[in-house]
Amino acid sequence: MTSIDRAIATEREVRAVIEIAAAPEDVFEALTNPRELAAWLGGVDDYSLGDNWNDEPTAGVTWRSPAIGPDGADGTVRGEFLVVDGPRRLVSTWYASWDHYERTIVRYELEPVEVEGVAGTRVTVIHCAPVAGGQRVSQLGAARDSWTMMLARLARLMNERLTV
Amino acid sequence: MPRTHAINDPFYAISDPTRRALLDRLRLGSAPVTELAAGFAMSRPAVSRHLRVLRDARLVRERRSEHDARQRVYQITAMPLRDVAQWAQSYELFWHGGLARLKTHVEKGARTRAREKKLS
Repeated sequence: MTSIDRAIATEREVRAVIEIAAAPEDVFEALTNPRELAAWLGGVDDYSLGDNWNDEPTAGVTWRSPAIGPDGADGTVRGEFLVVDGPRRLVSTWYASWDHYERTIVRYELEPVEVEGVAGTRVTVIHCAPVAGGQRVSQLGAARDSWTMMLARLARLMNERLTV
Repeated sequence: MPRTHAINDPFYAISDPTRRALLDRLRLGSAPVTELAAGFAMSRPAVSRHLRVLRDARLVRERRSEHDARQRVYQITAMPLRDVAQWAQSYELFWHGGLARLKTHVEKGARTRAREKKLS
């Protein structure tokens, strides 16, 4: 693997943040309970759980949910919880049907903040595609390398120019 | 630990403004070194040195001109970078919608629980 391949393999990362007017415990429940996952990830209200569903999320528990893909089409996401540290932090593998079930990692960070005058939660999602073997998992939360940021900006700029 | 700059390091390659400008120019299409050098206030050998750094980092590739075998034509090889951008754009879109639905879902539940608490 060349250095550029390595750089790209460890670079793919997306961050998104939202503030929710509900307690971190409620948000954490929505991130870990498959029935709730189906409701917001997939827009499905009557999702039935399998017989082997363990209602206590712990590291190693696998999950599966319908999900609305980036193009608006129905899809499926499955994963395995890697870190369950409620109600502050959740790390899970993420295999999406629209991504050919490529292994990626999603990390949620929950922070209590006041939202619209009530005790709420700031949710940060960090979604990254690790190199094969998952070495990236151990680096989650590590300081970002300014060079990789530069490469990401360049990549985006190139994409804009190449697709016009 | 200080970062070392291997000759094929793409991050080192794009850290220089001249090389970024060369990549900008090459995004518009391949060009011979003479044409690329004409756009910069530096000698052609200096531009060639920058192109070599980009080539070593596999951000551009060179081939001989079909019209003049002595001429080298440079072409951008940014497909891997474009794939990165497309993945990121796709998931930015996904999480934009997903987190909005998470907010609606959780806040609806929180309002229901608050109402039930009030009634009991």
